[in-house]
Amino acid sequence: MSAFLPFETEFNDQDCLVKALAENDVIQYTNVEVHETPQNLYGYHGDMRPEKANIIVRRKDIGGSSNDIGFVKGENGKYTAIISDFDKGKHNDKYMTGLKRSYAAARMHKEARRQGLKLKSDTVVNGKRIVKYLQA
Amino acid sequence: MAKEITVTINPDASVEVDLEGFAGKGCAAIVEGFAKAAGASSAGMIKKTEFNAPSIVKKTLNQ
Repeated sequence: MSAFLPFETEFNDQDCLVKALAENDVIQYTNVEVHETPQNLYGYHGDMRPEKANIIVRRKDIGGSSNDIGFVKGENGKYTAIISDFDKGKHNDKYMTGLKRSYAAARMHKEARRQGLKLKSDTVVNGKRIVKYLQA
Repeated sequence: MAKEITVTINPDASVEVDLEGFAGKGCAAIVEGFAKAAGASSAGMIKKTEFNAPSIVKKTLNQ
């Protein structure tokens, strides 16, 4: 039995998003700021920008003449990416799809732990990440 | 039979959840949990899924 369930991509779990930023197979960011109150982003000249975010990767950790990138939490609990046009060259569709994959993996792991499932295996086959769990 | 859950994350970031060895409401609860985690609405999911004691359930969550 199968069903196709379309839904909008959403990042709504802070811990999983931070984990996804670190484990994205396209680019990894392990030095990430997390703020309860959104903080300003900074441009490549060190200039403070009006945009604010709760989860921030600072430009020094991105490299080159990048600006900060961030994710701001909306009232609905969903995080929206704030990435300048310049930085979209590096953080393009390929990067965002990788981030979605790593977020999905982190979120599924979290749900499996919540349900008390035991990890059996975690493999990549033909580009597909296949994670198996056992229920006790 | 062991109860096994397989989560497949596809290159396009869509997610499939396969259950083996489950039946009835136990199956529904597990699928609902994963669907919610993936961002799908549980109401929509339940409506689209028949839980007539299947032994194998496969769900695709398009992320």
